[in-house]
Amino acid sequence: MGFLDWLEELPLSQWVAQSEVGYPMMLSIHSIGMAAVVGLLLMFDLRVLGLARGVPVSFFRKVMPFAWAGFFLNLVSGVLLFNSTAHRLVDNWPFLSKMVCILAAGAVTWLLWRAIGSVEEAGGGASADAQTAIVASPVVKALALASIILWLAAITFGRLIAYVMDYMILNAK
Amino acid sequence: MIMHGFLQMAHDSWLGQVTREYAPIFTTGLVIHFIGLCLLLGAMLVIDLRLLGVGKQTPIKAVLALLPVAITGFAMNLATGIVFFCFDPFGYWQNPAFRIKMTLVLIAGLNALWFTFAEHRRLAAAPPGHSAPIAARICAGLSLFLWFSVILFGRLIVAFQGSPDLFK
Repeated sequence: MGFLDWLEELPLSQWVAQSEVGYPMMLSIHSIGMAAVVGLLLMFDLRVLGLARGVPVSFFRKVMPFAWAGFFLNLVSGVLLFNSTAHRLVDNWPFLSKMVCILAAGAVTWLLWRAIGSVEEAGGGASADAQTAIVASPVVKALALASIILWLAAITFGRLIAYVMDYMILNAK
Repeated sequence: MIMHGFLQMAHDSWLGQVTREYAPIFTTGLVIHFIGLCLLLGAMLVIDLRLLGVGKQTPIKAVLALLPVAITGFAMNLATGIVFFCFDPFGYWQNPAFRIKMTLVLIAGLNALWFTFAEHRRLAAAPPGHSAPIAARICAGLSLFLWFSVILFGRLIVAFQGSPDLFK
């Protein structure tokens, strides 16, 4: 457990765990990042499943940097939150389930974009016909549905982390 | 005095009693609240980013088709929010983060109403490649700022519950 001790003793971990603002600040950033990355990816999945058909798939390429920004916020705030409570998270089953869901959701999203990208390259994907053909594929729709389920599961497990932890940092003081 | 009566009524309501008695209701409500916020913010991001000039070849009318998703997310959060409030009305009413959050939700709602009545129809008729007028852009920027601030102060509600003197 030497590595986890080292993580928890980092000055930044101590600040997150012990200062009055550290923990709430990280949780706030984590929620804001979640809204951006999960929110935008859910909208893309819903579009693939047939909602807002007038929005071209290519539009979502233009908003993806905002989803990445949200992901980056959550990676940073998530690592800092983990470091501050490493011992209690490492065997916390909702936390581990959340990590598995995020990895799987990331892989599914990557496959989804790859499937769309290959159709776009094959037949001049900018046209409306090509766009319709892309999202009509059952494989692509199944990937979008899997993505929705995995992100919602990640949120659910994320919510449950605090309930399974021995006690919340804020209440410990 | 009127406020006290209202808070007491919410506290004594069937919803308040049942929520205090069965802990899983609050936990489940929070899961729904978080999913609802993703739907609301996701739809608002797509709509507001387009209004702010991202992906101008996409007709504004097309992104406005996501408004029902935003409304669904808002309805989920209003319903679960009422459940949380009835759990401990006096606690929420005294919580500064809750008061700021509710004020921001109100302003964001008025902003959305103003957009619906003043800009929506005109923008829905705009051809692809059309830039939104400055009033609609301000509206969109304000909308994103307000909704993300709502998340921030929503999160801080718990911080104020944990230590009431936190930011005094």
